[in-house]
Amino acid sequence: MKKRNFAALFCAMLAVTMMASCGDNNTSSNNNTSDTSKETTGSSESDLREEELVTLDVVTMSSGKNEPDITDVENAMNAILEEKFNCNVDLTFISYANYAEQTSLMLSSGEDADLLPIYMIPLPTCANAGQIIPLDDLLEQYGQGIKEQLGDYIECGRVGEDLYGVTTARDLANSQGFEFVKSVADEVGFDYENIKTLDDLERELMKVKEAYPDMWPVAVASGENIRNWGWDPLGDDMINLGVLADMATEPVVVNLYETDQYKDLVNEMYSWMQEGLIQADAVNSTETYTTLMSAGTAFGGFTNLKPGFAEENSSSLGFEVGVVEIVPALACTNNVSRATWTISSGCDNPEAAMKILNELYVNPDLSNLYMYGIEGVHYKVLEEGAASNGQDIITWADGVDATTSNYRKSGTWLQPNQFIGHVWEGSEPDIWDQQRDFNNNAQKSVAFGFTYDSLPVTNEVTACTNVVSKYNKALLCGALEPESTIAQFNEELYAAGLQNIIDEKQKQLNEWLEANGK
Amino acid sequence: MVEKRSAFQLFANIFMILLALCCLFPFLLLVMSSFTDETTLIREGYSIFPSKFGTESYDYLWKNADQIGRAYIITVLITIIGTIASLLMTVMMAYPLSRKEFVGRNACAFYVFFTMLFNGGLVPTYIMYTRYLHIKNTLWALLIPSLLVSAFYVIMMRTYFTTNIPEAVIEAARIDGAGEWRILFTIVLPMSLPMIATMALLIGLGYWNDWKNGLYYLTDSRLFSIQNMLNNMLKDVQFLKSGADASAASDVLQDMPSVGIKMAIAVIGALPVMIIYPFFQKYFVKGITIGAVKG
Amino acid sequence: MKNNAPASKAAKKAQILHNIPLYLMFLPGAVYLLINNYIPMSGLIIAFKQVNWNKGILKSPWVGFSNFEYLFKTSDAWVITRNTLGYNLVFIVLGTVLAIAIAILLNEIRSKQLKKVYQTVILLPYLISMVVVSYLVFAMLSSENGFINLSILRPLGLPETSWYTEPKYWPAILIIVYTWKSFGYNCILYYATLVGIDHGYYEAAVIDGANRWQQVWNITLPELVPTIITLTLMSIGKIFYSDFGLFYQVPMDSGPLYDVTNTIDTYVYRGLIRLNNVGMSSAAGFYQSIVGFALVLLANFTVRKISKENALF
Repeated sequence: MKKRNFAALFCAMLAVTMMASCGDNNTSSNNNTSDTSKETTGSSESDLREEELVTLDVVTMSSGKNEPDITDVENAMNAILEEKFNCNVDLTFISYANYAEQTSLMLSSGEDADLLPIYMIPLPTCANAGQIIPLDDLLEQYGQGIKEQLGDYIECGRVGEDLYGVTTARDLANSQGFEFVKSVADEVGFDYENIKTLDDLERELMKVKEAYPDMWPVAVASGENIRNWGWDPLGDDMINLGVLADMATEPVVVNLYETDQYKDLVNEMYSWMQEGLIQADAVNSTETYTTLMSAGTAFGGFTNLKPGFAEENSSSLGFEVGVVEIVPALACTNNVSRATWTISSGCDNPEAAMKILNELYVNPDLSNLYMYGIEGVHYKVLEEGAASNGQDIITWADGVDATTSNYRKSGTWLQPNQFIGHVWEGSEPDIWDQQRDFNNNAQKSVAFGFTYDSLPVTNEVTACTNVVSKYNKALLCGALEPESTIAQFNEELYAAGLQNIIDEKQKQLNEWLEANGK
Repeated sequence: MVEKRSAFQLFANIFMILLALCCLFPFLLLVMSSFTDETTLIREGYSIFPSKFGTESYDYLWKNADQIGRAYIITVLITIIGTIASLLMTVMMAYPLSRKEFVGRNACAFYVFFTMLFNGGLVPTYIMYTRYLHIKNTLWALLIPSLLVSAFYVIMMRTYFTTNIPEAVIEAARIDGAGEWRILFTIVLPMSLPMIATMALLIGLGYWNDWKNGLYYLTDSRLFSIQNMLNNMLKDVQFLKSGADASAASDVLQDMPSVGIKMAIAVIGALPVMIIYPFFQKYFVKGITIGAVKG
Repeated sequence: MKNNAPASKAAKKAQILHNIPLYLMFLPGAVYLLINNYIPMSGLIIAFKQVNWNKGILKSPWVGFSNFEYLFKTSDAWVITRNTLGYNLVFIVLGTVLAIAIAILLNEIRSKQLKKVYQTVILLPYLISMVVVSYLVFAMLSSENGFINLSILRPLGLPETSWYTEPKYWPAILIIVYTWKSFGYNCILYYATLVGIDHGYYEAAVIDGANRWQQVWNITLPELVPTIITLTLMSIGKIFYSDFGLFYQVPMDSGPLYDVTNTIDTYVYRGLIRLNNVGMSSAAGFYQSIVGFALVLLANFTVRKISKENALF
């Protein structure tokens, strides 16, 4: 009796069927794309207008503070979009901390988000789970501007055959280096001009140690000392399960944790720790190293670099910082695909979404509104046309600042294209060109454009991830004795199935290389 | 005899004082660290007697007074409404389950208990609430999901009713012609004040401390509760940890609240409960004897 | 016998009719649980599917038990199961004993003011969020500025310890932190039951010449038994779950401590944070629930055999 009741209940549950089948969306999006291919050959401006007013939910990240003026900015953006496309946007901002969690919920339910950047969630996961739609056809029709703006880098949004995400304009390669307090450096004669290797750095850090015994030469941000030190993690950022080592010049997937590159790095850090160069609580520091730098208890820390990094950080920290680059810029797929704009499969009108996205990549007025708010209210122009892209140099509007503004610049790197917009006071006028050059000149990994799909080896990945987090962080902070630990580390990795991951990666990479004629 | 008794009292009090100190010390540390000068806090760590005091943390909170004020009002409002509604529903569910003559009692108890063990996971719940009940970005989002009726409280309440309300009392009331609703509200509840007060306190704490609903169902920060604000600040550090790239990192740094601020928010989040709690306590001492009811 | 059946059926019917007000009382909560818990429970099938949200959950392909594999096909399976179960057993036993002892003690305190103060203070730790607790623990244990190293070990001339890399101390530390944070909560649950006990029993006992211990033993504890059983059964249902904050944030996710801090929840979290695989995380939840369910059924069955009155259902 009881059993039967429960069975009935369960059926009822299924029937109510929640379960969000966005099935209809799937078919509609396919139909739509084929429709549009008919109508848009040689599309002129007027063809781009939707027949009925379309409103799309556009989501992005911000500081999570109250932004009371969102509606005003929305209206200003809609004025542009309505005239051109008969579209409106409904803006949502989510704080950094909650972004991954909330967007993944939105994508699963197919609600509340039509156009959004995926950040911190692997692109292949979203694509495999049917949360986002392929963009190739849409890009062909409405996204030429995006293609032009991104060049090669657009290829990194591919999962298998299809393109699922377009990256934002930001630093798309990573160079690695060291950030430090400039005033202290100048005082102790820290010779940052001539630092090329870790050994150079060590020598110079000793000067700091002698002059300021109470100051940690190297502090660590939340236990993360060093990452991606000149290898391509092939999608497994920070856990590095099967990488292309030594600046990724050879297409051979290896176990990073067995390479000399890794061993040398770890040995170096261990000896630094012994010499007292690294913060004693490195593994479980609760603060970022910049906080310690502000407090005068740390000299600097390792970091990813990009052009304008020192200027940007000096202005946000309130004192001057310097940087040295040790590992030159390397462009890997996962740096690029880490933040890509996508169209959710719950979106009822993908064409409109693509039109708006394209406009955000090419229309400086629209982009400036989205990034900085309304001129005269949220920002003011300091020097008109002084930026190298012809835009203005701007700063906070009169009477407002970072804490009082009702619409604040934040997360502009996650908005589609900051390169076409204004430049904030304090950055160099050609900052966007510098970043573009940085991206274009960075050495590209041989697997650049290859996106690895971990689906066939998920069991191994979960097990290996646990092993890596057990050892890697502590090793890179110099907190564990390297010799025996690395051996044990590798033993556990292989027991957890690392070889399968490496084999799978190599297989997928070979297929990709072949398909792309490399 | 008297001496022995006071010796016991002395021992009991000493023990409780020690225990109280154990509970108080970390909390004191929390309060003091929120009043410590920021640089000193980082240089010397947390201390009950910091070498330099500072009120920067509270200055910062004061600067954001409108935002924090709003969060406070929302938290208080949600806690009051939520506690009353939840308590009412909990009692109404627990009472029938405590009655022996309630046909289907076991099945119903199982129906309640089963929800403690299995849950469909976040995504289906999220879909239910956003797609079909449309509570996203409304205050309902802080009120309804997961918090309104908890199997744990229903079952605790039922156990209390079964053990502490004698059958005879209910039987007597029935013979006097009282209906079930009247029995519940005029006889059973007044006899259960200690448990009702406890439940109200725990349910209220549940609402007060909840940040998950805000995390899942709110994107509009104007609706955030105090705990949402605190939680967001604490999570910013983890965000940096989780692999932000250079652009993201320098962006977050601008808004990164200092340790002192986190501590200050933790303090202002916990303080009101301490102020309200003694109000509940007077119900804890009112154990009622059957004699009193009969008379 | 035969004659009896229809009569009892009729009686049952009458009884049900008589119960209508009770059903009405039960209804609002039941509806809420249906919406909040039972309908979303259909999502459990995600554990057996490779979800494609675009197709919808029902149309996504079945994958059998493959989402569960990662929980067992790992050398850590034993460690995480042992830790989860072990800590929970200790928490249940220690938590119960301590909470009852303190509730009884609290009840014996005669000064009303002090009683109120104690009651308020012991609930303090429960009010602090686990993340903040982890900061406080760090304040104690940090090797640079930690209270224990700096203010206790150093003045005593004892060697300082690097707490976050020494697994041997952590079972004790975790148990202390857990107990510290939660005993107040359990304590007031028992205390509420305690003060609800009919004073008449004690008065009668005093007249019979029973001393304090005899009163506690013969009146207080038996009166608490139903509450103890209820709370314990509910804890058993959660025995495969662990407090994420306690096992992840308090040890600061420190790698060298994994052998004693890794539980099913932290293992799943670490493993899936990059994969974001909803099927696999559902599978973990399903596994935790089903084990808890089986254990509760067993425990409840045992309780029923001994005293039907105290069983949960």
